[in-house]
Amino acid sequence: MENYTVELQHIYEEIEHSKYLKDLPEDWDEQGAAAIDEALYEVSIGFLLKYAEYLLTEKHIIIESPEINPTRNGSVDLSWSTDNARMLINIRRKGGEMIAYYYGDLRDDKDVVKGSVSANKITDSLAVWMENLRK
Amino acid sequence: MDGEPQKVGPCMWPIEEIPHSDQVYRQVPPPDRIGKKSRRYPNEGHFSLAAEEKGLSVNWDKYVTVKSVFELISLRLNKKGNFTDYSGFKIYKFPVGLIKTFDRIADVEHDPVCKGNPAPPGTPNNRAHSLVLHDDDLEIRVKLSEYCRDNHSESHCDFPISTLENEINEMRENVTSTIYHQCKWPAVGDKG
Repeated sequence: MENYTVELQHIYEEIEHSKYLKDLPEDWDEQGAAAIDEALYEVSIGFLLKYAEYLLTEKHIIIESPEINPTRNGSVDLSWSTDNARMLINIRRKGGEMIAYYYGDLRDDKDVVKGSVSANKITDSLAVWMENLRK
Repeated sequence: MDGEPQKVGPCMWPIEEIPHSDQVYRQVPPPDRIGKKSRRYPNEGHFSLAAEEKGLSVNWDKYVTVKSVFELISLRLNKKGNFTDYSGFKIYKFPVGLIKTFDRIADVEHDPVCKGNPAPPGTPNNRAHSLVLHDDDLEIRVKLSEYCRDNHSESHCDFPISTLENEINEMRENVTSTIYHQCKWPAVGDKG
């Protein structure tokens, strides 16, 4: 994978920060949360990079960085909240597969997008909507 | 047998209908549990469901105050067997009527927790416990977290938590005799 150090620096920084997720112990919230599955974390980071690099190279769009956050069930959230759009992508296991569930809208429930895709490849329809996350 | 917790049925308290005009409290762990970088708080992950949960745990204001939510947190044991560090938790409240307008929320259901009389140390009873029923839906998580951030002054329950320290220490020392471990649990104020 190529390294777009200048254009995607903000995303690389968030990824660097997010490495703490791999060290979160079970019950990190003292409310029974599961530890983050390391393989799932790596797939989540790969997913983010794939889309960010695809949008940069194919559409010349630099997207905002999401916050990369843990959830209580051990899955990983990618969360964007821009002036115009909000999007949440949750990467989790379903059966033997890694699936990315997503919800997005342009505020006030406009242009709502919702569904699920494989976390291991680019899905055009999702990439098109993610253009709304441009920086 | 003397000294043995009295066994209770599935629940000693009736399940009640929660009126639209009431509110529920949600406790959120401290921001520093999720890294050192400044970020939106609470975030969507704070409203995710743990494995096997069928809804988001909340507490109905008919049976708890903000103070008692902190007390309940403080009396619970974490997975290491220590009392939960309640001091950094934040409490947010939601109008039940508002939550029920969200499309993917099936209901806000009263779900009292009865562990015994007295309840064992570390697992207090909770007559206020309720569930916001949804299928770990992403849209719901986005909207609940954004509601807290956009309506911070109404939703965040500010509380002088340092004033609780002595009371909580005392309860922890007599942990099965607290109101939360017995079967006495009146409604708050005149709501009952």
